[in-house]
Amino acid sequence: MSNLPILPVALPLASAVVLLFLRDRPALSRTVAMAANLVTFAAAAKLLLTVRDQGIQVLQFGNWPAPFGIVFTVDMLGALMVMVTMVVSTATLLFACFSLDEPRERMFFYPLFQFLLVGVNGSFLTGDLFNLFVWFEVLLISSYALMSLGGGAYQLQETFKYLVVNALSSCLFLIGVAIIYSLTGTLNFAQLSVRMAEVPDPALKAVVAVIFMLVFSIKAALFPLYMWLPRAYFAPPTVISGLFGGLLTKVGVYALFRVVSLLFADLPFVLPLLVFVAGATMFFGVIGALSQWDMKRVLSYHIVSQIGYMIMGLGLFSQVALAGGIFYIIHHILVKTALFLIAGAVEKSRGTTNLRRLGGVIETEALLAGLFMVAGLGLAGVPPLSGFIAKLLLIQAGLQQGSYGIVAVSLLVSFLTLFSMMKIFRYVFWREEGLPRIEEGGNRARLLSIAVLVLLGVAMGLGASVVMPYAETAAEQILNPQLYVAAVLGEP
Amino acid sequence: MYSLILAVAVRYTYPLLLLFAAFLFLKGHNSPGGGFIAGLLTAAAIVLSYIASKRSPGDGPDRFFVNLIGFGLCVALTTAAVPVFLGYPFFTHTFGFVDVPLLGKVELASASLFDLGVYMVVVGNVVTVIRAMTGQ
Repeated sequence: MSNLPILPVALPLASAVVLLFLRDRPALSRTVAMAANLVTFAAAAKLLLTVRDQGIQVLQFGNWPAPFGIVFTVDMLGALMVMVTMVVSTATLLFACFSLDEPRERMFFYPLFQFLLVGVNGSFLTGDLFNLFVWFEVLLISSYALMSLGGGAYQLQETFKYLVVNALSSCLFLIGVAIIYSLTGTLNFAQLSVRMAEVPDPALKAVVAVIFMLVFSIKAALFPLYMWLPRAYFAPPTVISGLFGGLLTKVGVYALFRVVSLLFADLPFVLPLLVFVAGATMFFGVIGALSQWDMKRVLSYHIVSQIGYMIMGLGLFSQVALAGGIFYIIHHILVKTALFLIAGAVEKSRGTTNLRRLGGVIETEALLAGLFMVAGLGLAGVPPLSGFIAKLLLIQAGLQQGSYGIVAVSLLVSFLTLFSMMKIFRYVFWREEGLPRIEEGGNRARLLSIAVLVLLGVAMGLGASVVMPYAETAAEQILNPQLYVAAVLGEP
Repeated sequence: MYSLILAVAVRYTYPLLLLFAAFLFLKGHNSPGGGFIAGLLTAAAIVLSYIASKRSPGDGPDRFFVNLIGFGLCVALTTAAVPVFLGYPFFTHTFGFVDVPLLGKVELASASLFDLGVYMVVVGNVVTVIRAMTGQ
């Protein structure tokens, strides 16, 4: 048994400990954090390749065999999520090194960043329901601290709301875990998957399903539970909102994929409900974005709207739809983080992200404007960019299954997304009058971190044939939970 | 607020509390107790000594308890990671029996090293948090 699956969790944890001691030396902290991130990146890449070549990987902690011990189970979906997490976190970290103020850096920013990665990667890798709760808490506690870091009144106020919402959903999560344990006597995902199918009482099963969907809908910001997101992501420094916007809600989406596919896919109401919620999330998210006049707020509402597409993939639940949904998640994490970082660069250069006051950024920062254009078009789904491929697959799956309603909504939302991206472009970059530049000289490192993400997004669109097999394998494993079960519990 | 009665009482209860914490820590391997509870008790003892003394909890060296969290994490992570280098899964623990004079046969488990890490993290954390909340 290889210890590879633990590395994406253990390495950030070790670096967080080291960074804790280096808190008074920001320059050294940056180097150590960056080096640690690159090593973890390499480990994640190795893990992804191992999963591709050898199938699902299982690590039993402390040599206690599943289902008695706690396991890490890495299937293609988990490995992909860890990989893309490391890509965006490395880019975000680079951006943070060159944009964060020193008081924040001294106030444990780098250790907290690494602890956040511990939680995110742990959630993607674990094969145990209660363990998932624990990793969620790890990432939430780090995110509370990061969100309130160095905050003024507004930031603290929004962090408090974020904390209350998440504490509530964690509480529900725990209740759900307790009920499921009383029903089945196990918390190991693989064994749960076997035993949930044998639960005689459909009503109780439905209750559990509703509780878990509620919990992860709050975390993933689905309709009608997304109200906390736009304000919470507006408050902290942009680099932190970028990381959160790219990653955190996607942990909720991942958890929905995992739980629904393994435990609740056979309940008749689950999938149609998800499709309905997906449509509503898309639509109301984009309407919210259209009404906003601040770059960060517009982008935050678009997170909500885009999550609808991922859930659409889950709700349609076919090979094509799931592959499309997974492709969408990866595309979204890259592009959305890039867009947030662009907002951060604009904020650094002009001192605001208010659309009404900005303008003419293209004259001084043409490259930034170009990157925004590409990322924005990618988000809206203009061919040949990555968003197009993802949406094409989803719509194809929708048409195959005759779900014309959701297809219509998703097409409409794409147009509105395009409109909203053009609105940002027109007001921030294109317009003639606007605030003058307050920062001398562009920052190459910040541009580099944005450019890497945007180019990866473009590469994902152009080289879709390279990425697609991974998404297809992941979809296949999701559709066949017996593969997951066999990997953990052995052949039946 | 300084109280002579409390100060004198704490002078005698402080070592007792620490002793009880040590007892809980060792007992924790196979029965209720362990690093977490012992850590809480130790932190409570330290906070009590702050309350009883004339010093304000916010005074004094700030770094020690924050560093204690780091050291605790180090200890815990190392005990979990050592088996990796010996070819076992992460977190594998072992135990053995050692003859100690006076006490006879004693069970030593590597899991208690992990518990020691937990203990340090809890003490460092609780004291840091309480100091931060009362300091200003």
